[in-house]
Amino acid sequence: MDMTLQRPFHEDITFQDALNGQKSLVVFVRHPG
Amino acid sequence: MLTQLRVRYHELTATSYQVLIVTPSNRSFLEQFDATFGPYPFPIYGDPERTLYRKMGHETMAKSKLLLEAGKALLKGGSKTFLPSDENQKVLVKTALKTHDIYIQGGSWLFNEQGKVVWNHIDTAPEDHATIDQILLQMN
Repeated sequence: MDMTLQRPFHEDITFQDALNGQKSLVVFVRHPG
Repeated sequence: MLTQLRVRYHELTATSYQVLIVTPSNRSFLEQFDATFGPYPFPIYGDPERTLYRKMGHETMAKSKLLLEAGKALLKGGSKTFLPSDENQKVLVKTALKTHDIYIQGGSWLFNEQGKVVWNHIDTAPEDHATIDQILLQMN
């Protein structure tokens, strides 16, 4: 879960840090838009 | 899917879950997306190398199968199935269709506070995604 993700206007973050110990819905999309 | 999540923002935020979006885009593209579509109400992340996608079991589908499913959707719903009517948004989505790995499977996952998966759905085809109603049912 330590994969790095990019975020617009922010520094990279690991997936684990994005989950941040919270109940989370994570939606993977094929492309934005 | 992103549009549906945006429209049903209030229902989703009324749950005890945070909502995160993962795309196969890089930061630069997501910044253009933000400028063109307006700020997205949920955190949106880019995984341009699809490392997390693959770790979670999302695979790049056979192009022939995806094109077949896309053709069916096109016949059913017309080009509006894929492209927004706003010209700038349409240009950006067309760019995404040309530059992104659009053959990667999408999907929805629910994690508990310990980071354990409690439910998931990996799309077997573009039109096979879990609906917001189905996701809300699992969240409540």
